[in-house]
Amino acid sequence: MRLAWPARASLVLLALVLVLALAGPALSPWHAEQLDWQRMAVPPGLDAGHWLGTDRLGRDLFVRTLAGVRVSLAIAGLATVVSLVLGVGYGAIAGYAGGRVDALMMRAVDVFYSLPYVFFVILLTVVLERRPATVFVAIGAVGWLTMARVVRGEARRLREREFIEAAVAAGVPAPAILWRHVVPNLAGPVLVYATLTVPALILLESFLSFLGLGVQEPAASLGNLLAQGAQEMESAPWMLLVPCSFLVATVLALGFLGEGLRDALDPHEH
Amino acid sequence: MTALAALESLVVEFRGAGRSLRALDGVSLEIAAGESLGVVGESGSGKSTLARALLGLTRPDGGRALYRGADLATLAGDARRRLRRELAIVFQNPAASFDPRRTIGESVGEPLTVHAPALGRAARAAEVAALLERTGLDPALAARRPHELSGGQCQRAAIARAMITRPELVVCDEAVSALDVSVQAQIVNLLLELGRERTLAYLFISHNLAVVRRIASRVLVLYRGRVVEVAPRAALFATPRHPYTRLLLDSVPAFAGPSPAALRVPPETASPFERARGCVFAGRCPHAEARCRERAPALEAVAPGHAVACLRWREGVAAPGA
Amino acid sequence: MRSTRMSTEPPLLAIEALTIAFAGAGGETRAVEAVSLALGRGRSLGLVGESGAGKSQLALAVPGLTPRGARVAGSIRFDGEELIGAPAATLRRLRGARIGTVFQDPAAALAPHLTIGTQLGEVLAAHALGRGRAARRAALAMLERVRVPDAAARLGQYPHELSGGLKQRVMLAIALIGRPALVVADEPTTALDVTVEAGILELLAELVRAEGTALLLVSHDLAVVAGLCDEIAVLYAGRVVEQGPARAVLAAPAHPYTAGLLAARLTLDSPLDAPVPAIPGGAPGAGPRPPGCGFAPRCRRAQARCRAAPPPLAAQGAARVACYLPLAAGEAP
Repeated sequence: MRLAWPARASLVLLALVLVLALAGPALSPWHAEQLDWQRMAVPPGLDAGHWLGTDRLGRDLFVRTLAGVRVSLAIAGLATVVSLVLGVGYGAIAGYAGGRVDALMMRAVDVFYSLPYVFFVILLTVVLERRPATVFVAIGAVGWLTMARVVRGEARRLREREFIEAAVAAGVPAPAILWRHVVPNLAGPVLVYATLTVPALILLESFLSFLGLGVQEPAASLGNLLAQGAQEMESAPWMLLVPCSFLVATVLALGFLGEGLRDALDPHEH
Repeated sequence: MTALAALESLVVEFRGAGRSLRALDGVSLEIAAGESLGVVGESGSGKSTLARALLGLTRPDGGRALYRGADLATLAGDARRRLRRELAIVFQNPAASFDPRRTIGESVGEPLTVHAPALGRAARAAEVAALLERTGLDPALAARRPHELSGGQCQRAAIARAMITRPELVVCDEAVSALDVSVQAQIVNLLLELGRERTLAYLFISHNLAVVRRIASRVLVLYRGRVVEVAPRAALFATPRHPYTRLLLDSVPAFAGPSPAALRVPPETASPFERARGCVFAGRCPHAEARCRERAPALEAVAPGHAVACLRWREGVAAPGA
Repeated sequence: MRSTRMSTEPPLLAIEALTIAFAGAGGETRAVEAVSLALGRGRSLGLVGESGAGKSQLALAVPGLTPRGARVAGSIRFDGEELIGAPAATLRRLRGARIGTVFQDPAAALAPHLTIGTQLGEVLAAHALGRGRAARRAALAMLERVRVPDAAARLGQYPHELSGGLKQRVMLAIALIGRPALVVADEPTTALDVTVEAGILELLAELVRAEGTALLLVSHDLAVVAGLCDEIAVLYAGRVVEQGPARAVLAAPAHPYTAGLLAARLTLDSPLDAPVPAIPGGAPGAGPRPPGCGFAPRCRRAQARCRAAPPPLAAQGAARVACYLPLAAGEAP
């Protein structure tokens, strides 16, 4: 598979971010929730190992941001996997079945789509209380919808192809056709879309946490780090810039990777 | 004797955006075991719909599709599975009829996973290899993907897949039309050999009269969803009775150039969404009269096995140069 | 009937040692290999071959429609002008006005979002042959010339409203409206129903005859070429294997491939009791080809020297054949 250079560079960058997120904290003497009373709101420097500075409460920003990256990636990654399983399954069945089943299933998706999202999350938070699981459900509930739509479109197109007709004519039952023929041939577009879903979900999580509906203090996520950083923007700009840079870099890299995958896979198919 | 497969006044309509199209408008035909029936038709004749209706892949809107005397619409479970085992189809586009993500071996062997699930993987692979060889392919090709094979090789594999369940009837839907002339010849020979060896019945659909003539012993001519003529091979080619059949014969490209008789007949101008009240061919027929446009002619017997749907067939309207 | 004596004036189209090659995973594929052909003014040449023979690539190289990334070597001279490597402006000037192209699939070649009238007008406008009212008149006249019924109404219609045959007539109109000296037709009737085919072929024949237009016709159907062309060139694996007056070549083919192709063709008179005489094996695929004659792997008469070096085109009666062991008249391949 020939990936364009932006996609390859992005892959390298993402790998770096991941390694940093996992191994980085080991390099620093500080922990994510450790308070350094002597050095509160200190700008980045080599002083006492606070390479990217500290926040209002003296917590090391380097370690804390990496913790935030871990949380955000974990939530977005897991939610993407769920949206893959749910979205592909739902969309493939709807697209292949066609007719009334398809119409019903996709109307349900339309209804979900039209729900006012923030109200929905607030409701969810009230019901499930503020836990990491809540954030995860809130994001997962939305992530699979677009995947389902994309997959349903592809499945509908696939249904018309002759090799599917050949399988039907041979008497292969519908579930087997779906599993053996439809889903594998969806892999291309699905992979691409999944890669583009991850950054979307990271941003969604950041948005929720920024609003205070997502990951709660003292846990760190890119979103609540951004929220705090935004408050201190004038006096301690690094508190915003550090998590922001990580967020932008990760999202951009995933975006380029997704595009590169799409370009590499699509022409092959046709 | 009950025919192996039959269509009784079959009607298939496609509806959409407020209009409807009658792909098949009251088509009847019969195929006996071991017989080769050719269906000749151009685009818009309904030939592909006919193939699918015979296989039970399309639900009729009128009339019945029968297999061994049973209505396909009523079949379920074991009976339906038996239908799928005994009927097979070979499509026009060789590579498109294979899943691009699976190997040829997997695709050719797939019908066995449904109809002979007890066979282990090894036994299945052996069957696949045997059939690939029989259709003139190197068994090693079973490990390849469709895009690695040529059109001719893919079509041979498609035939192998069709034959692997030992069917009684094989529908060939323009099976050689997308192939080069030299490959067509090879595939035609292969189909004829297999037909003889396994006493197969064929429904051979094609717009190419010369190919149909070689394979089929009886020929049915379809135009805009209706049967206009059906006859044993010799009779159809020597003494056709329908002006459309004559037009088809005249239109076959000849070394001497386009036939003047063919050139006299204008192309079809009616929309496929309009259902002809009278004869389907009246809009083009050089012999059409007022009554042809009023009344749709029923199939009339000309001779044993030879029927034509034309009000004027007795007047020699299908004679050469008429 | 036009005489077949060699014309003394320079040919309208002179192709010299043309090679078109594509890079691929397994190496270079030579779609066209060192082909030389000539076409005189007002004459017609049919390129015949099966898929992969290179006939479409060869023909479409003339209006400069070779796909990007292909390696092109050799020379194509049209009316004295060299086309290979010519600047885009030259090709643009020639296309439509002096070289018309008819494509295989009219549904794909006609722009779906423009009316017929607009598309005809585009050609005229591009070559300053008329605008506005004059263009509309010319377009109408051309549609009538190609016998499109109800021409005035058709000008305002979109391609999807027309049948396949009508679309192809429109394509002929677009190709000929600039009154080109040469028309390149790539399988013009392959996508059409057989009862419509005759009409299109006859129309094409009549139009080129009336205007004295030269015709380069590509087809896999020998009969189509025979009915329409003075000369025929049979291609196999990118090379010309036989070339000469169409009737002569088809009546007494000298190359085993031509003979094999003729024998494999099913006609309404083919015998019903014997297997169809097929050429064994298959056409060569992509990638580098073995040295020697391209047809040798499938030829019953092949000898060592056939596999060593490709035979040159040599005169054989009225035709030219690339074969070390050409067939005598009436000999079976």
